[in-house]
Amino acid sequence: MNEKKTAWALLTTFFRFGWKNKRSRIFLLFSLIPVLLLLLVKIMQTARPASFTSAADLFSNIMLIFYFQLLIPVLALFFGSSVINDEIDNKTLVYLTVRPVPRWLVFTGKYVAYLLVMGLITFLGLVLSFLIANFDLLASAESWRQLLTYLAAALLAITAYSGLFALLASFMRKSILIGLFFVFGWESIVQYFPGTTQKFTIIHFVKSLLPYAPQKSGFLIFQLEPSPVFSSVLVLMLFSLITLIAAAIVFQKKEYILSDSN
Amino acid sequence: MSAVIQAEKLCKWYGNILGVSDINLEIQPGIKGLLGPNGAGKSTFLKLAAGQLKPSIGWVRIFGEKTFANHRIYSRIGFCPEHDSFYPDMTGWQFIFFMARLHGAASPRRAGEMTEKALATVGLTDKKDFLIKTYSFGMRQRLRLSSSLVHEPELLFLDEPLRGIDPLWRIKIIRLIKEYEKAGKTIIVSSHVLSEIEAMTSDIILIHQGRVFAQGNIHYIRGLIDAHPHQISIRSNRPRQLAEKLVRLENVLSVELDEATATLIIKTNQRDQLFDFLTRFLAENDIEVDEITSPDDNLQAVFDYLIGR
Amino acid sequence: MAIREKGYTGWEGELKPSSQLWLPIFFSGIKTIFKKKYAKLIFGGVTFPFLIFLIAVYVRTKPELRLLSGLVRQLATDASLFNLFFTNGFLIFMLFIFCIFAGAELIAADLRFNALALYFSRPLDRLDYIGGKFSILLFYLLLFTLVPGLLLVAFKMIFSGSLSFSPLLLLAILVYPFILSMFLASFTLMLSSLTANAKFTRIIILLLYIFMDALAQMLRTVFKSDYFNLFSIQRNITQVGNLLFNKGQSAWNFPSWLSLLTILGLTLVFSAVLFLRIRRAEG
Repeated sequence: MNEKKTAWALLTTFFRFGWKNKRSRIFLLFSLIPVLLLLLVKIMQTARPASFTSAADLFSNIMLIFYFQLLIPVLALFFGSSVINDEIDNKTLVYLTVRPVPRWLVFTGKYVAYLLVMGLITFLGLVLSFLIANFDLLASAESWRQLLTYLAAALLAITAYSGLFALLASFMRKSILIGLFFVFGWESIVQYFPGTTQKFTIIHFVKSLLPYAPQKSGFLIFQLEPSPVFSSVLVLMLFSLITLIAAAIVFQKKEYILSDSN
Repeated sequence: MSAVIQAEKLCKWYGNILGVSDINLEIQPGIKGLLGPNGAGKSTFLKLAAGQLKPSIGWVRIFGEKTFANHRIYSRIGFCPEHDSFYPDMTGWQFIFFMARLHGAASPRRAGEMTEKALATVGLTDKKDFLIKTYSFGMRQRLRLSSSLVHEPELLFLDEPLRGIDPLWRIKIIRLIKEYEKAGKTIIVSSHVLSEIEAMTSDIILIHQGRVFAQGNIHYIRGLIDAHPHQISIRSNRPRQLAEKLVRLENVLSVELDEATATLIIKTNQRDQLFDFLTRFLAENDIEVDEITSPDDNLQAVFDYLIGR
Repeated sequence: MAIREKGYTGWEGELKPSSQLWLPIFFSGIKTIFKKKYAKLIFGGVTFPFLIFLIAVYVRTKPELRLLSGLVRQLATDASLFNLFFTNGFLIFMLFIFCIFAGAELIAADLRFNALALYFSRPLDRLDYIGGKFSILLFYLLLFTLVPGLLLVAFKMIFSGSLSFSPLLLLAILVYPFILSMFLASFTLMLSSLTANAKFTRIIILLLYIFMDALAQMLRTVFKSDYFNLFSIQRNITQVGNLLFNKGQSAWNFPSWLSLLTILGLTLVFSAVLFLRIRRAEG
């Protein structure tokens, strides 16, 4: 059986329906709100330059707060856990597992499709935000390097988070709550602790890739002691790979009972 | 002829709940009816056989191969599940096309041809471009059936395929299943509706409380149940005379007369001897008989008896 | 018009209209939530601030103990005690977690399994159904806010050995939990009624909570005006607390009564949307 053809069928079908889905549109809307904010700031800055924080200065804050600390983890949680949980909740898993397609390929094909959806949602907002915020600096190569840095960091963040949540979803049904606690509980709290504890989060390595000014030390002041860029990239890539392979293995071997209870 | 499906000591537990227990089967090509009340273990058996569940104890093989996560075998199997579940944002055509592509159709064109044929088989061609969520229950059931037929498998598992189908399409689908059998394919059909199974096949497996109670030809099974008296119904012009004679026979356990319909219901534990006697007696006494039937020489009676109703 | 006669054709009793048809929904919902897998863990988490403040109230009367000194220093007055208790970030966050855990699927599950047809084939109308669902969330939200508040009052009196307590403060302790609970319940149920996918509802509840706060911060930074705090759910809740407990004094430069109006207005809007959604499902 031609696995490339079936992988392509999985990818294209799930991408199409994932992208057309109403929920994806809602996430896209969230992704575009910072764009509107930057547009508004840019317009007001043009009218009264001295009165407002510049859009370029605001850009890095928006990237961090809206995209990297909020939208990307939430997208990854929703789509990452949906790869398997949607098929179980909707009882459509049987249509995929009774075909001559290896189970790991079903998982991988659907995951990559959702990765593309997440990427599109994030990159659209990110790129538009960049273009608006750095409109005056588009001739500068440094600006484009910065954009590429943000895009690469976003891609690594999406794959790392979604890999983790896909793995959680592969062996537990209530992965959403645990995912929410991880992102908005554990990762939020640990940011205030100095030292190696921070390395037990994904966000630490993501932030280590971003242009960021270190804060003064103090109680309840957010503390980032960034890791080197190369090791951050390596950790995120390895983490993504390990979690995805583990999720594929679990999906390959585990028996999923499609009961009527939810 | 080698068995298509083999199971040995097959057991499945869902936690503390027994799904199936100690099933030993060999299923030959043809149509096999899997019969049992709700919760008997029919779906569990089908899912084990189709590789959707892992056995707790024992094994099940199809074409000599284990089935769980054995994707190579799925090109030869079609499975129509019981759950009414779909991708609601897809149209009927998109769904079957997707299934065709997952079966490795050589090209999108070929997948399209397979899709058109599968949808035509179940009469959904005119609804193919409508979203599945707008389909009626019966249409969704037919679409499910279509998804199991799209790749023309050698072995079909149909879990309650006629549920929710209108009478016209029931006949068509039964006809389709029989045509499949004539083409040399094997079909395992599960149902709790006896008339459905009887219309398709006389070769059955009776399941109750997770165990196989009986398997084989329905008439053969009935014949084996000697301990359970056979019933014979005779409608004739002189029922009283007939009753008077029959009641004296040792192998007749009881005779019941319904004057309104001129019918006798006779219970006997030696059916063949009674028929011999009747043939001679009726001829010698010139008694006209309108009808002789065996009301319990059917699946219902066997079923009721075996599950102890 | 609601269907009232179906299912009663063989019943010999007298068909009496009842105003308490929401009660079976309420009792059933209470039991279901209590029996959920992680319920006790969540309840423990929501109760945690109460335990800390209980200790702080005790330590306030025994300064020699030197426990939770930082917190106790902020509890100089009864008003500041209850203000800090009811508006502390951890409690608000855990209340949202509870809404996500228990409230997100209250209506979404009914939509998913087409249960609304079952409800409305009984002599129930929208008010009964919505009232029943509302009461489930209100019960637990008040259990986590009003009851600990009243217990803190009681323990404060016991530890201080004095029964004197400001009546206005007591009134605020009674009113604030209701405002907060009505807001959270209407917010949760509205979102739950918008989709049959409870998982999506859970994510959207938290996303909105955090997103609006981030948006408020951004707008405040850009436009240098505290009025943009009105975009933040958490800050509005805090300001309502400041209004009721602290006579409107706050760290932000905008009137706290605006937050109260915002919260009450949003509660009405959410309730209206919920009402319309169920009408569509019933109709």
